[in-house]
Amino acid sequence: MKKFQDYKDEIYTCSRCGLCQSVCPVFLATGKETTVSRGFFSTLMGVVKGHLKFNKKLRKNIDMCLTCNKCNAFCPSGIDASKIITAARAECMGYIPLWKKLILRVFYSKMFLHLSGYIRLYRFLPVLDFCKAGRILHEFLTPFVQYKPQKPLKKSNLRVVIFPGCINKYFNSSSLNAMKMLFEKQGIEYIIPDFECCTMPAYSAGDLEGFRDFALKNLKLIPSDIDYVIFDCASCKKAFALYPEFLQGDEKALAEGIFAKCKHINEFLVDFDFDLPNSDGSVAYHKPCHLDCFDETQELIKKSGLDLVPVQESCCGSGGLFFIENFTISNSLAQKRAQEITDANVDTVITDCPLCRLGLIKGGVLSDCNIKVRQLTELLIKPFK
Amino acid sequence: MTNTLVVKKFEKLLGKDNVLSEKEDCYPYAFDVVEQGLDVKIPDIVVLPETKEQVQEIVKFASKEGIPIVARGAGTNQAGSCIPVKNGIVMHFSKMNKIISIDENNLNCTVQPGVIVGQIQSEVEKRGLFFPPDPSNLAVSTIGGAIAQSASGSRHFKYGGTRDYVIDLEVVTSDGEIIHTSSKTPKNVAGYNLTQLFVGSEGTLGIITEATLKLIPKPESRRVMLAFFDDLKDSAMAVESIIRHRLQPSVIDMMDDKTIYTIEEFSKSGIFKPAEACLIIEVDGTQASVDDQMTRISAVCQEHHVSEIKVAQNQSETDKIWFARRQAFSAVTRLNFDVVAEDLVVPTDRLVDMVHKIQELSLKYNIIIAIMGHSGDGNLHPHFSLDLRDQDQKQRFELAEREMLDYATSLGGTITGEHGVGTVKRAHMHLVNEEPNLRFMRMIKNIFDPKNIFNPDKIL
Repeated sequence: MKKFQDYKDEIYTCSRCGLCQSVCPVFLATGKETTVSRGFFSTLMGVVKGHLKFNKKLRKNIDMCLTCNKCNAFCPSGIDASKIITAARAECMGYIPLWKKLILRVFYSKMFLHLSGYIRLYRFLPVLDFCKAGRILHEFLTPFVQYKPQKPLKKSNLRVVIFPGCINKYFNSSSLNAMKMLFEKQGIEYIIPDFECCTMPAYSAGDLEGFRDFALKNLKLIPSDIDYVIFDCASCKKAFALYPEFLQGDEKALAEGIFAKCKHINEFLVDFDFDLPNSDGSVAYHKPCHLDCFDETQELIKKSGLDLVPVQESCCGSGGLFFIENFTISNSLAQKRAQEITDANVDTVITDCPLCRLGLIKGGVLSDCNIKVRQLTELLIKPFK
Repeated sequence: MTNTLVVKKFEKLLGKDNVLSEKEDCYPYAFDVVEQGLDVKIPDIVVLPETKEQVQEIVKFASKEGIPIVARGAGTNQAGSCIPVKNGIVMHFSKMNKIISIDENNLNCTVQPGVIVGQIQSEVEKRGLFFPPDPSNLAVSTIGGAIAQSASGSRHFKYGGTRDYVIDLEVVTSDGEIIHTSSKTPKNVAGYNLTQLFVGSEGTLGIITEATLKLIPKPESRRVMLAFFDDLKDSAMAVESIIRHRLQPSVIDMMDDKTIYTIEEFSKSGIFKPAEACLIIEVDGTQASVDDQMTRISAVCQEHHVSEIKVAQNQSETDKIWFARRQAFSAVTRLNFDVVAEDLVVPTDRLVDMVHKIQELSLKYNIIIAIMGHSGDGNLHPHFSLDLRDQDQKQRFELAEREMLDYATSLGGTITGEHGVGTVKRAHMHLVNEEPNLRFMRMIKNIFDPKNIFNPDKIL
């Protein structure tokens, strides 16, 4: 695991050409040099040179990065901004606000997550029906697909583990329901161990020790004789991709072995000959920043008979804890995104990350664009329209 | 006035969100592209104005108090022009980024200084019009910056640079007054050409708050080709030959082996294959004329031992070529930590000599120099690839640079063609300007900015 000091040369390599300004969603919203990779590198170089010190203010500034890595995708110098910024955050964990410490420590306990599931009781607060926050919550928490046991249509020898992710487990199981039903139809045996959080939010916040602890707990829950570990959340899978970097020896080998079996549900389905419901209708796809199977996802959408309307790639404004900490910027990004989708003349947008889903719903409600947000699995079980 | 009072005053004027005063917030504004080592000058305060009235108020205040102001667009210049060498105020124009009007009948557009150059291009092209200046960082660089630096790019060879497309400027002067340098008409000779005085003034004479730009019809068709050579000098001779044959492509850019390697390394376009040299040639005009010129240019290249000619087959290939070419500067960091871009210009018929000299200096001082440039204009960008933290390398670079600039000047060339003087070429100004020249320039600066508040210690 590389520490901040190990990235000294990489930070220095930034030529400050400033091209990252053209893609950084946060910069496009704020217009400030302090919130774009070049500015972060100047700041971190300032720390290396001894001009600046890690402190509360500096931590607050580097928390303005979504770690979406859009800048890395084309950086002429090939600098991996999100890794460097994460390492810098790890260096100044002592300066994070109290609420964030609470989220990173207490909130990750299962008991708390179970309790937080009671947020669904909001239904009994009628006033929320009339405000935008209530509408956002309602959209986000209401399952689109209810679970009904399915008769197998085929036989299969496959055994898979489902990594359901916290949103599926505690807040809205719709996508998980859809996955279970899809597997049952295909005769695929699945198990869902009692996983912890993938801890991607902790990673983004720089709590790398917490990330490592949870990584081990999760990895040990996966039986060795299964064929695949299936994810429906792009970020959870990304966490598994990062696990090996934080472990050594046998544990590292275990993490690597398991990651070789990890597949996003879209990637898994596209390889199989499924009876896809021939739904017609047009949808847009919102690409989560952690998604590593964009091509397969697009293929699966087309295979399922849906008409995929191209929309430009841009940001939903959620990203880790960013949407809590930078509420206003996050809202403006979400609204802009919802508008882009509405402008493309579609009312349904598919995505594969619960936080993106939240961002898109939020954007839709705040800008009064009537968009439905779904995961692809949901539409595969409950056809369009 | 104490610093806190100034901050309070500006916050009241601009809103809290548009004033940055903490050290952590101001630090990133100490830089543009130029490496500054350990001696960093941090601005005391950064302001992000949204209207010209706010700019006026800030200038009036700064003028009264004698506080320096550095105007900043995207901070992508290569000359150190945005470095706040005397601290003070940095005025970041990212929030004055609106296209005010595009006048299709009179072929002009009026924009705020923070509009991105690439955005102007794409907006006017939607209407069948064309704004040719194309600095390589046009995806982020602002029109205010392009005017202040008199930026240009590859298409300068046929179309000229930013300078040739500015017809009127609205400027806030040092006493906070607003002036218009000309009229919005394509012609106007009623008086001295104040417009051109501000173009390329690097923010030392006043602050541009609005610009009216000339537009021309968009060429019907465009095509790009790559011509690969086994010898850099052959490619330079081909450039001279194209000009002698009275051909006029819109672009003739040159790249050497190191540049080709680094841009392919980052872009993975699959288009740039290893070679000693490559010319990027773009032709535009009517379809028939494009076809004809392409044939004739290919024939000229054949005379100079071209090893392969590749023509972009579609828009996606063309885009890939331009994307890779335009990022060539920062791609050089693939070779070493720092990259310093020179910007010399020589008469085009001395290009071969200059290329030869650069290669010689690279050997003599044992330093990597990647050569690229707008060869049609004789404008070369030798990119020094090195680690400036190493004192020995830094010294060798300085010696090689000095010798290079001396040689370019001796050929009848100049030390900067499109990047500007800023801080980095200040010490070399005397190479291309005799004392009376410099004296007049100092007098001009003194008339417009008697208190020396606008971007002090730049150019002169």
